Amino acid sequence: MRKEALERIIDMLETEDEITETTALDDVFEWDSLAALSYIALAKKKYGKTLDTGRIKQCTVIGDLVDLLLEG
Amino acid sequence: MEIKAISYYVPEKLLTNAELAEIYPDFSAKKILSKVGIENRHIAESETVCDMAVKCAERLFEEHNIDRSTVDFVLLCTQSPDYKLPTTACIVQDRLGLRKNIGAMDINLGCSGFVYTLAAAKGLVAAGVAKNVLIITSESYTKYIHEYDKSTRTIFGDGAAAVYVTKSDNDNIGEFVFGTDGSGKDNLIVPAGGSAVPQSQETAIEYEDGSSRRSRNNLFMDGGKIFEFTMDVVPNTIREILKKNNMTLDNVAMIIPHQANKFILTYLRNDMEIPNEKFYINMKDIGNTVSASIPIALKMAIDEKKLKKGDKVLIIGFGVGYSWGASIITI
Repeated sequence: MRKEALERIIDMLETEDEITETTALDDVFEWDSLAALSYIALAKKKYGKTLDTGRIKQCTVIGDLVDLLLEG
Repeated sequence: MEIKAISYYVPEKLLTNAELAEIYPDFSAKKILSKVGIENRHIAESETVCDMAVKCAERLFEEHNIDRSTVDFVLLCTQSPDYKLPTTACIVQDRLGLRKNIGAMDINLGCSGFVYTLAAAKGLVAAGVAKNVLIITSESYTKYIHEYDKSTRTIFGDGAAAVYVTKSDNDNIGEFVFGTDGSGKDNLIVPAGGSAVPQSQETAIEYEDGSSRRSRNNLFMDGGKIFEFTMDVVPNTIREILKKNNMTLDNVAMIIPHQANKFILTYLRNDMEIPNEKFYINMKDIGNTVSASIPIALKMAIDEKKLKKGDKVLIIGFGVGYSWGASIITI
């Protein structure tokens, strides 16, 4: 479950860098406001979730994005 | 009735990705183009919405050899009018030298505005109130945008489109579908300057929002919320408008959506599994021109010979309000 969510996030970012759950979002060049939109779409399509943009802004590492997808 | 002619006008001054990349260090010009699909936007600077509307209508008369004395109603769609009052459409009547025994009024809508104004024009002609309606959508959102607001400054450009709707034996403007949800008002808004929150020293105070800066006198857009809204309404509205016109996607030559930005449009196209050539995306040198975007895209697609006479085109506008609407027209 977690592994799949992480892989989906890495796919979405289209990055060539090594990404793990502890990677800081600030260090991911591809993580920007548009990537956040892709993340919102991923949450809706694959997890049926409507994410609050405020909560995405609170995320600091990739693992936080995984948590948000899987919570509840 | 039919759409007899379309022309558009954009101001000369360009804002390029290279200039934006200089202001926002974490942006590269290439990244903006590949993700947002925009390379240049036109900026009205000292020109007003009325100036652009007049230039655009003059171009319509000239390009299509239209006698201006035939105009018997002006509908001007804008959210950045020259004055709070009087109505910009009235000033346009005078500056274009149109007859005085005609109607003229403004319609205040944004990204959905062209579809609504076309519906109003159809109503006027169908009811026998007018024979020839001059529609102008003219918008200058850049006047509201803070220089350091990365998200909106990258996307929006100024421009105007003029469309002549005339009575004829053809039935070229089909059925409409509309939608409204005012609960989304705060997600695309200029908060201060109206009677709810008049402009003051306090509303002019600038604040940081991520890597953007603005005050409450400026345009604010919550990109995430607008994207969610779009994902919710656009696919359903496309299904509804096809059903209402007793058509399937096979009957339609092309869908021309409001040119919001390439990112959103590509998502929608993929989500609905619509072939690339059937879903028009072209805002590279124009940007998102709000209510002018659909008629500008229509004109571009016709000029590129991607559309020909008799083709059915599904148009759909969506955004600020929230407000959305769609129709199917015949070229």
